[in-house]
Order: sequence, then C-alpha cells, then structure tokens
Amino acid sequence: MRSVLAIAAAGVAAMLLQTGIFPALPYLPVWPDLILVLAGYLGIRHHTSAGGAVGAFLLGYFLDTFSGTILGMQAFSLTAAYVAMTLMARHLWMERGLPLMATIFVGGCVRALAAVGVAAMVATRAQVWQHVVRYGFVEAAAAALVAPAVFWGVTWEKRLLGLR
Amino acid sequence: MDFIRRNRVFLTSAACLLLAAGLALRTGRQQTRADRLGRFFLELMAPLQRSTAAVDRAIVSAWRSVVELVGARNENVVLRIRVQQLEQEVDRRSELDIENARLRGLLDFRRTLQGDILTARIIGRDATGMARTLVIDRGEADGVVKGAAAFAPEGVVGQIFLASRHAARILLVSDHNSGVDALVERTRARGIVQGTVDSGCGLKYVKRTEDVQVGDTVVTSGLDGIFPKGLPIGRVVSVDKRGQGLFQSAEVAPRVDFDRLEEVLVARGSFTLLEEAPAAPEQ
Repeated sequence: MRSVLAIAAAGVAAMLLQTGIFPALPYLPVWPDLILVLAGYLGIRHHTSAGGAVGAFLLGYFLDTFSGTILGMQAFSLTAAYVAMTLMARHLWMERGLPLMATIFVGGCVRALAAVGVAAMVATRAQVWQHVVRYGFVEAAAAALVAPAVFWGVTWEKRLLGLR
Repeated sequence: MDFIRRNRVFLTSAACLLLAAGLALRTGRQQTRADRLGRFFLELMAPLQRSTAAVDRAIVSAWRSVVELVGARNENVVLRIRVQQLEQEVDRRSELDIENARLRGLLDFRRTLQGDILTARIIGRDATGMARTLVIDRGEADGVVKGAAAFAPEGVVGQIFLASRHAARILLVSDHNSGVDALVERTRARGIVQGTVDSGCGLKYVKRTEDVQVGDTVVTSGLDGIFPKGLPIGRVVSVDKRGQGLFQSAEVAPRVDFDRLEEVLVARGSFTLLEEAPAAPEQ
C-alpha cells in the first residue's frame, strides 16, 4: 500500500511539474515526460507484479486527464511502454546508468508509436504523427536523461515511507 | 491456472491495453468527456495546481525580470554609445558654428578689399619660442609668393617669408625680424612697427616732436609696397620719450591674437582697402 502511495505521490508531483513548472520555463521546446519515467520505474522495479501494469495504466489515465481529448490514448501508450520496458528488464540487469536510460528511451519510442496507433484508430493520426516525428525522439531522450534522477527520487521517497 | 500465474503481468497488461483501446475508441470521436475517474483526478489536482500556478507565476516573473534587466543593460550600453555620439555631434556642430562665423567674418572683410586675395588655413606654428611664425596650407601652387602680405579681418598678421609648392610660412608682425611701415591713425605720425621679445610690437623711429598717445591706433602706411594703406596693426599701450635722441618709441599691442588665429588672408599681388577703417572688431 505504501508503495502505491509512493508512486501516486511521485505521479502527482510529476504532473504538477509537467503542467505547471516546465511550461513556464523559457526556451524549453520539449520537456521530459516524468510520468513515462514512473511507468518505466514500475516496469523495471516491479516487473514481476501484475500491479505494475495496473499502475502504468492508471498513470496513463491520470495523464489522459491532463493531456489531449482522447481518453485512453495515454493509458494505452503508457501500458504499451510499460510492457516493452518490462520485457527489457526481464532480460537485462539494470539498476542505474546507461542501461536504465536506454530502457526509458526505448519505452519513450514505444509510447510514441503506440500513441500514433491509438490516434490512427480514432482518425486523428496526422496531428499525433507530426508531433511524434518532430519531438518524439527528443522527448524520449529527455525522459531518458532525467530517468536516473527520478528513480533516485522515488527510491528516496520509499525510504522515507519506511519501504526498503 | 499455472499459465495465468506465470503470465499475470502480461495478461494484466493485455487487459489494460484492451481497456485503454476500448476507452479510446469509445471517447475518441466525442467532443466532451464525462469519466468519473478523470473528474476525480482533476478535482484532486486542482488545489495543488493552484499552488503550482503561483510558483509558475513567480518563475515567469523572475525570468521576465532577468530578461528585462539584461535588456535594460543592453539598452543602457546602446544609449551610452548614442549619448557619446550625440555629444560628439554637438561638439562638432558647435565647432562648425564657430568656424562658420569666423569664415563669414573673413568673407565680409574680403568684400572691403580690392585685389586677388586667398584664404589660407593655419596648419602649424613656430617650432621653438625663439621666433614667431605660422605655417599655412597654401603655397606656390596657389599663387602664394615670398613677400606676400598676410592679414586677418582684425589687421596685419605678417609676411610670407618662405613658400613651398603647397605650404608657406608667415613671419608675424610681432617677430623681432619683422618691420612694417606704419602711421599713427589720429596724427599721421610715421614710424616702423617691429616685433619685440615679449610677443608685442614696438613703434620705432617716430619723431620726438610727433604726438603719440596711449590708445592711438597704428595702421599701415602703404609705403612699403606690401600692405595697403590703413590696415590696422594695433593700439599704442605705452609711449617712451626717455633719452636725448631724435626719436620716441611706443609699445603697440597687436590687434590680431596670433595664438587664436586659424585662418588668414594672403594677397596674391597688390591690393587696396575700399574703406580705410578697421573692418572688424578685435579678437
């Protein structure tokens, strides 16, 4: 329960940063999707638990509330990214550093493609596709860059709540 | 059952994916959303977002302050440069006004003269304090010849004593080697104006019987063939009748301030004054 609380608190903080602080920063054309990194955290650190998938779905749903009009698009794409990162985590050993960043980057790419897929299903593909082509890789790279810090933050938060 | 347990993560993921796809398909074409969970999230985040908005405003405000500060600094630099430029421009214009007035004076004076007169700019002064000479920017190429008269609206300046192709030197009337035949304007007493050591002039060889008083104006006599009759030289500041000789002498203050002189007129050949009177005020 405390683990869920830690991820939820991190999700709220990430959402506040993404909806309030990052857009206010000047000269920042793209900003890292911290919610994606949290889904990655679930995929990497909780890849044996079914709760991770539900967590990723809920994080996506949470993101859907504050992004776009299509309910389920972010939920679908973040769950897809979670699956991709879980598969990688099962075959690679990673705690921090470059493998972690690479996994988040791959997750970001999968998430972007999944979003295009959902958009195609509801006939608004062009706009999402253009965004993915223009910013998809950069956003994934930005998320990968901040991933170690986010992982460290969640670990610290868990320790604060008395978990591990 | 074992299959489900082994693949629970992927089965849950698949279920979530299906659910999300279903949600997307169901709401994708709708203009509005009415999901309860979304409304809950929105409601949950609202107070937090309100607080974040204050931080957001603070960040934007701080950033704007920085940008404005940098802008003001740059603007300050630009304005400083502009002020410098304008000050230089004002100085230049002021200088031009003064020069303009001076040249207009020269031009007015030239109208009182009959003859071939040339305007020359002073480009140098004597290299030592032992003599009083000037260098002008006109030479033989402009018709300036050795012995030509140099004068200003205020009066006599001197005489060309050396001329090259594009420059010439003037021996000032205040130099001790100079000599100009002169008259005391009031009494027509004759004498020779020569330079003295202390940068003034002396009127010499005036008969002791002649009436010379302090304040008298001394003008050229026109007898030396260089200066026309009636060109002012200076004013008597003291008279010396000491001694037993035939002559008296007087100290004369030149009308022309040679230290401030910037242009002179040089005669090319003989010339005359159309009116025999001091044409311009003292400098």
